[in-house]
Amino acid sequence: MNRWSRIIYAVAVCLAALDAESAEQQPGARDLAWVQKRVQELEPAARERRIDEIGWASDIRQAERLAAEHNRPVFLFTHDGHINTGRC
Amino acid sequence: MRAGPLSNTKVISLLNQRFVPVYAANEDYREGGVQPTEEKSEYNRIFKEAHAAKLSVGTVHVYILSPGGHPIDSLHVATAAKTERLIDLLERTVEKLHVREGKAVVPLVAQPAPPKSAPDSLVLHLTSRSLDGRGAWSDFPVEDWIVLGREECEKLLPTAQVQLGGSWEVAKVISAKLLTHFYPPTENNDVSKNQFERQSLKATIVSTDIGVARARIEGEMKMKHSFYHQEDGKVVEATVVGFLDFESSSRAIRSFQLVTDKATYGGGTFGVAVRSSK
Repeated sequence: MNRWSRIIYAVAVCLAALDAESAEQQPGARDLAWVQKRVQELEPAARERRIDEIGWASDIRQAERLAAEHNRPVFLFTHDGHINTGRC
Repeated sequence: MRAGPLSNTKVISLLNQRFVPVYAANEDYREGGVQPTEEKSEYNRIFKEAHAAKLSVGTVHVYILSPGGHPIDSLHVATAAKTERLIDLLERTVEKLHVREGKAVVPLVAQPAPPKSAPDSLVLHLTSRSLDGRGAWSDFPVEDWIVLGREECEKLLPTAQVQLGGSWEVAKVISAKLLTHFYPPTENNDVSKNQFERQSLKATIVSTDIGVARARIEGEMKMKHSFYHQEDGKVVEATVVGFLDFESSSRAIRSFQLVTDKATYGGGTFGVAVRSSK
């Protein structure tokens, strides 16, 4: 194989590799395993759901009843949107 | 607050061991909000008492109530969001009231709990997150619940007999109900303000095994969604892909998954995942 043949062969191999890579990224290559993996990657991790580690009362009146019963203060956070879903 | 002090181990321990924590979404307490009259009255009483006591007041605020239910301290959210300032407030309260340590008085449960729904409905959980920290809030992902009733589920499915390779377009009203939640974490979460320029979901049967059909879903959307509540011309553009399994005879949906393949908004990229939870 002469020098030019080797260069043409190398370019052809690179083009074939690029073609294979782009084929993997086409929507047609998105199979069930890819979708399931993507769902897992996007869902909240435990460190992003630490709000679940707090024992929240369901409403102000329940919090007040429990506060009186256990002789504890109430921590009330009023906010716009919905802190439980993060859409706030 | 959620990404800051409410994710801090010391704050979590203090709230569980010394307080009764509760949060209140303002829109639920306004006229027309979902909370009952008695609950709204309590919310208003606290606000008025705090104002009369010359405490700082506001709609996005932390209030500390005595065990008797009266406001004794407060912090604006801008201050309360600083973890050390919130810890100071909590510890000051514990010391002042001599609060004894104990276990959390309310059992821990997942906060974005699934909504109540009919047994034959399809309950979908959605997660959305910024992928590159641009164009959207990026502290943590946000979630939504979407419920499709039995009749709405029918509109996800083919009208013709199920056969391999058969395809159909999901009813626009149903694809809109799903895709209107496909936007990254933003301040504006009023989906009634979203405007589609285009949206579609197309399903194709890719397998039919033992009475269960599997359809592959592909779709795309372009939707106006303002970051804040005033019009800003920002647009979501996304392609989506997913899978739907359903029983060929009963047409009961066994599972549904849909994710963004590529999604952009406000100069950044984001990802959305939807999966059935029952």
